[in-house]
Order: sequence, then C-alpha cells, then structure tokens
Amino acid sequence: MIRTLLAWVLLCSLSAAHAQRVHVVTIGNDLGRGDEMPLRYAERDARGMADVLRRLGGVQPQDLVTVQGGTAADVRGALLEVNTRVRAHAEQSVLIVYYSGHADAGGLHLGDTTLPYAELKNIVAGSSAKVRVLILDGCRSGGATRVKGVQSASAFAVRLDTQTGIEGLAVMTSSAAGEDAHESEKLRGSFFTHHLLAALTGAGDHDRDGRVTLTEAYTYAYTHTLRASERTPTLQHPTYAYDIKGKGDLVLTRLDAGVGMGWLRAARAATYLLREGDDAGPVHTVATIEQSDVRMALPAGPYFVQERHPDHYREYVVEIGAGAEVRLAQQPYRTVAYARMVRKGAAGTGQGIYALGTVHGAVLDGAQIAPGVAFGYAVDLPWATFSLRGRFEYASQTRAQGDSTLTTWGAGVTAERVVDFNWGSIGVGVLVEGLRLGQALSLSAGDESRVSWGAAFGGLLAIETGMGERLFLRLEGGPITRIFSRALTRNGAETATATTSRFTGWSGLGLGVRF
Amino acid sequence: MKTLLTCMLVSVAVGLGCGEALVDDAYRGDPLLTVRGQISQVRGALALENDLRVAVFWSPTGSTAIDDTLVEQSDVSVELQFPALFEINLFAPPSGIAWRDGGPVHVGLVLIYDDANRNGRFERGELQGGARNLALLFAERDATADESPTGRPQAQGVSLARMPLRCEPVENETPDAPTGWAMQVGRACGAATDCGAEPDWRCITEDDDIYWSGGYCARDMVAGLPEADGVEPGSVWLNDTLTPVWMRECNADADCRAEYVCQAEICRPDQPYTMVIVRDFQTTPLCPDEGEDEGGNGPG
Repeated sequence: MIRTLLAWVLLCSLSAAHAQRVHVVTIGNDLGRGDEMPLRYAERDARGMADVLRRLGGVQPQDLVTVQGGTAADVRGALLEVNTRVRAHAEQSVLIVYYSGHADAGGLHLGDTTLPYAELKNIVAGSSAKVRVLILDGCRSGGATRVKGVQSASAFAVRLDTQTGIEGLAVMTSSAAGEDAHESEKLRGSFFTHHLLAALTGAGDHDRDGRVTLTEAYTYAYTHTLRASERTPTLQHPTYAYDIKGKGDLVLTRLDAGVGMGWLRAARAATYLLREGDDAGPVHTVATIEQSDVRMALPAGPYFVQERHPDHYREYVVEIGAGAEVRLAQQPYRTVAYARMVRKGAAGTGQGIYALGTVHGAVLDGAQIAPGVAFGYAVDLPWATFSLRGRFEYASQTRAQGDSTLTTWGAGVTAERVVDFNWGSIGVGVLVEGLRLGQALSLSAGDESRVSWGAAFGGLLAIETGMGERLFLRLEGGPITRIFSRALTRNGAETATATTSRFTGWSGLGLGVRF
Repeated sequence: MKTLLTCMLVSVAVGLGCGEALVDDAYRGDPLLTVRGQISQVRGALALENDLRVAVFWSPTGSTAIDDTLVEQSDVSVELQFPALFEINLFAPPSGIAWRDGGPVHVGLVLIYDDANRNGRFERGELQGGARNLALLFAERDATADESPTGRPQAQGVSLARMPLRCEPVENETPDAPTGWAMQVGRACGAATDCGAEPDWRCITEDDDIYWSGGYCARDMVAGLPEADGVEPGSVWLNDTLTPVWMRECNADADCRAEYVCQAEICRPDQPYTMVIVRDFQTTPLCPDEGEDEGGNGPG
C-alpha cells in the first residue's frame, strides 16, 4: 500500500515537472553606444546563464535562444519568435529573459541601438507564458523596475512555500536606477551575474532542498553583489520587483538535474573560491555559504577550492566526477595563514604577536654573546608587515677585576617585505630601536653602575612557517649597528667619552600567533 | 623621564648616544691615585723589550729596604711609554697585608722587575730598578701628625709623597716670615751676585739632572753660619747635597715659587717622579736621618 502511494506521488511529481516548459532568451552584448567603453564579459555572462539554465533549469535546447552581440531589432525579433512558440503551450510555460550589457535608465544599449524598457516590458509582459522573468544586468537597469512603479526589494522575506500554480511577471535588475553595474576582472564577469549563477548552482539554496527558487537566487545575488561593490567606488544595489499571483515560488534550478554535473558539498560556512584546474586556473565561482552542509552543482572536472575564513584559508584540490559528490570535510587540505592572505590582498590587515629567544653579538670589548627575549606585535598589510617590539638581553662580562653585566632594554619597530612560498615565507626588512643599556660593574674599589641611552638599526631577515591555522614558527636575524656612549679608557681609567657605533649580528627563534 | 625619552628619540633619529658612558673590560674604575713620571735607563742595564713589569709594593715593616717582605698590589694599572714615560693608576687601597710597622700609615714603593720566568710576580733576582724619590702612603684611618711619617695629619686613603719624608711632626704649620738675608733665599737669579754681595751666595741652576727653573738663590755653609746667632727665620739648612746650603723653608707648595714644590719643608724644583732602570738599584731612606742602612739593594 505504502509502495503504491509513493509510486503515485513520484509519478505526479514527474508529470508536473515535465508539464512545465521553460523558455529562455539570453542576450549578451559587450558593445554599447559609441561613448561607452566596451564591456569584456557581458556576452560571456549570457553564455554562462544559458549554460546553467540548460544544465540545471531543465531547459531544452530547442527552448533556449541566445542573442550575442545583436541589435535591438535582433532582440526584438528573438523575443517575438519565442512568444509565438510559447503560445502553443502557454499554460505550462515559463519565460526567462536575461540580458547582460550596457543600459541606462531608459533602456538596453545594444551597440548603437536601444531597446526601451517600456517596449521590452511590453514584449515580456505580453508573453502568454504563465510566469515571465526578466533579468537585467546592466548599468541603471533599475530603471526597469522603477518604470513599473515598484520598489526595490532589499528586505523581502524568503518564501519557502512549495510551488502551487503561480503566474505573473518578475523583474530582477543588477543595479538601481542611478547606479553603475560593475564587472570584475578576477571573476571574469559582472558581480551580479556571477553571484546569481553561484546562487543558481547551489550557493543560494537557503533551505537546502536541492532547488533554487527565484527568491533565493535574488536574495543571494543581492547580498553578495552589494558586498562586492563595497570595494568599488560606487555601491550596486540589485532590485527585484514582482507581480506574481499564487502561492509558492518559481524554481529556477534543481541541483540534481544536471547532466555531466557533479556536486561539491561544503561542510562549513565560509566563502569558497573555486578555480578550474589548479590554483592558477580561472575563477569558476566565488560563493559565500552561510550555512553548513550546502551542496553546489558544478561541471565535472578538477577544481582548486579555497575555503576562506576570517583568520585562515583552507585549500583543497578536488576532482569532481559526473554524478558524484565530493565532500570537502573528507578531503585533505592545506592551511594558509591569515598573514599570507593579507599579503595576497585577500584580507585587509592582519595582526599577530610573537615571542622570540634571541642572541646578540657583544657590544663591548670583553663582553660575551648576550642571550635575551623579544616580544612583538605585528601588523600585516598587503605590501609590508610592521612590527612594534620590545626586547631584553643580558650579557655577562668576565673581567680580571670582577664580573660585570650588561642589560639592554630595547623598543623599536621593524618593517618587512614578505615573500610567500609553499613551505613558508621569507621577510626582508629593517629594524630601528631605542636602547637603554645598563652596566653593573664589580670593581676593586666597589660596585659601580652606569646607564646609557642609545639606538640601533640594522637589517632583518625573517623566515616563518605555519604551525596550524594561527600558530607560526619564526626565525630571524641580521646585522645591526648599535650606537651608544662609550668611555675611552687609558691605563684602566676613563679619560673621555665618545659616541660609538658597534656593528654586530643577532638572531632569534620563537613562536607567534596571528589573530 | 621626559628628558630620557627625548634623548632616546633623538638617539634613534640622529644616531647619537647619551647618558653615562659604558666601559669595556679595560676599565678598572676611578683611580685612587695616579703617578706620572719619567723613566731613565742608566748604563744600558736592560734591553727594553724584556718583559718588564712596573709594580707597587707595600712594606709591611715600614722600611724602604727591598726584601722578601714586600707585598705586590694587584689593583694597579701601569702604562709605559718607552723610553721615557710611565703612568701608574692605583684603583684600590692595599688589602690583606699583615702590617707590622706599628702605625696607621704604611709605606709603598714603585719598583721595576724583569719577570723573566713570566709567572706574573716579583721574585728574588728580578729587580731592575724603581722610583727612588717616590713613596706611596696608605693611611688605614685618619692619622695624627705624630703617627704620620710626613709629620702632618694624614687623611685616610692613599697618597703620594717624595722621599725622604720629614718623619717628625711639623711644629709650626706656618713658616716664619723670612727676615734679613733669608729674604733672598729661594729667589730667582741668573748669577750669585743677584742674590747678595756676600761671597757665600750661590745661584743654583742645575744639580745633577735637576733643572732649577729660573735659578735659585741659596747660601752655602762653606764659610760657616752667615750670622753668629744662627739661622735666619724662613731658611733651612740642607746638608744632603755635596755643598750644604740654606734654602727656602716651607710647609706647603703655596709657600714656594711657581714651578717649585714643598718637599721635606724645603722649596725644591717641581720635578717629575723618576724611575731608573739600573743594576744595584737602591731606594731612598724614608727619613733623612735613617742613613744608608735603611734603604738597600734588592735581593739580587
């Protein structure tokens, strides 16, 4: 009985899925008007959207129309042709129109031609498809939603209802009416489309049901487009306006539907950078997962995965097979310290503290090598690492007349230029210190103490290697010149004083923590 | 604190040091006493490249005779600039010596020896010379004039004196003002006639190797006392020279002319202390009346 019931439910579900026919028109044009700088990735974005919708959105090849580099007339013609096809089975149809290219508040710039929003809206809205979705990725494309008189929906609730007979029009734009939309050289695409595609391939699957709805996709794309644009001169607020009746939401992609696709299951909430091939390969996706155990659908192949956390990275190399799932939690990884992330420009600034055991060369005749300790607070910037440090050293001096000691307190700064390697990093820099030197003498006539103030400067060579996500081992050293007041002696007695520079070397070994 | 901080910052900025000066292992402290003088080598007694050591010896017995009782002090630094100059720095008072001289003031000598066996200490037969006219005095405590060989109260510590010492208390701290012919004694002169008309006046310009700067009026005793009644105030009879003479009396250097110092109550030329390298070196007796038997040769 139960088996019969389950079989009936499955049959109904499949019937419903097959009943819905999705027609897609993707439009990409790198060129705008003559006074607009050509885009580099608009047509590529359009191809990417078509590919994802074909693989995961259940779009049949015959229902997918692409217009690359076309004019307003080409787009107009393609849309009208699709509308004609939609009429044959309008009740079960969904129409998705995607555009990437130049635009302004009035319409799409397709080379030297313009397709006004009003006309575009009329064509799409006039389609007999039950659900019409217009996605516009272009500057000031928010004009399309403004025209419709609805507000951008930056704070609408995600609807988790199942899809039960919805119909209407939804318009999603990459930017508000007065805003620019940005492309990223690193992402090789626009911010908006990149994050929309990341959402459609799984990053936006908020409820982790294996289906990405229109609302989920917009929510994800809005959040991360805005966040990405914070690093650009102007913010970019995607907008979303919809006039959809019915209960439920439109499912755009199903993560288990792809042919030639595999899955990457992210165990931890983090930002994931996926490169095709190895760590030098092109960026496939930058996806921010805010929950644990989220699955992303990806074309089968090798990937370099960088799992970014606030204080460290984990780097994986994985091979995703068609129809197979790779769980990152079960994969070997390499930890990258935060300082290295900073130097790569992947983070703002880093901080750390360290403690070293040190030895310094003798600064006075007859003195021995001085052991000591140093404590530092380091600030990592992309182009240099600066450190405030204090140190103490203690040297004994064996003399015929009695032992003496020299204690040195130092406070100073270091500046290093750090180069990272697979095994660790090497820093080359300079060191400047102020010194307090205290000498305690045991003389025939009694004890004597002296305090001198001086300075030190020198070179710095440091080698660091990580010991986990935060801990690191540091070896450093270099030449140093110390300047201080020194007595000139003759026949055992002080005759004069002079400022002396003493060139010696030093080295240190210890541990540090980045935070 | 603000000054020190400023100093430190300035040090960093301009690379200067400030505060007290640090010292190397050559530093031995502030010397209690520094003696500078000349070295003279007589009769080519010793090749200067020998391992000569100049050392301070203290005499537990109070005698200036050179014998095995002398104790060498270690807290001494000596610089020799052959062939002519020496400097001795004494950084601590003698210690660990069993004094047998009965008083609070003890006598030290400066000697030169050839440390032929390089054992770092003086042994019989190694003596090569010393400072004849130089004595070191160490007062364990403040000593009265009766207790001091200088005849004056002696402050605690180490001091320097020229031998021979007075060895009896100075009765009159302020010498009598010269009267009569004694007013001429000790004055500068170019010839005896500059001093007086009497034939027993002498103008001393050099005596042995000593240079009497500007000449020194003295009256000899060849013809007996110039006055039937005896000594004129302000003059002293000196008979340790080949020709005994009346010389200027003094109690302190201030009583003498420029370039002259008060030594054994007589104004004498301010000569550097002299060390001689010579076989059969003899020290000067501590007191004028001790005679030759008080000083003596080294053991060798």
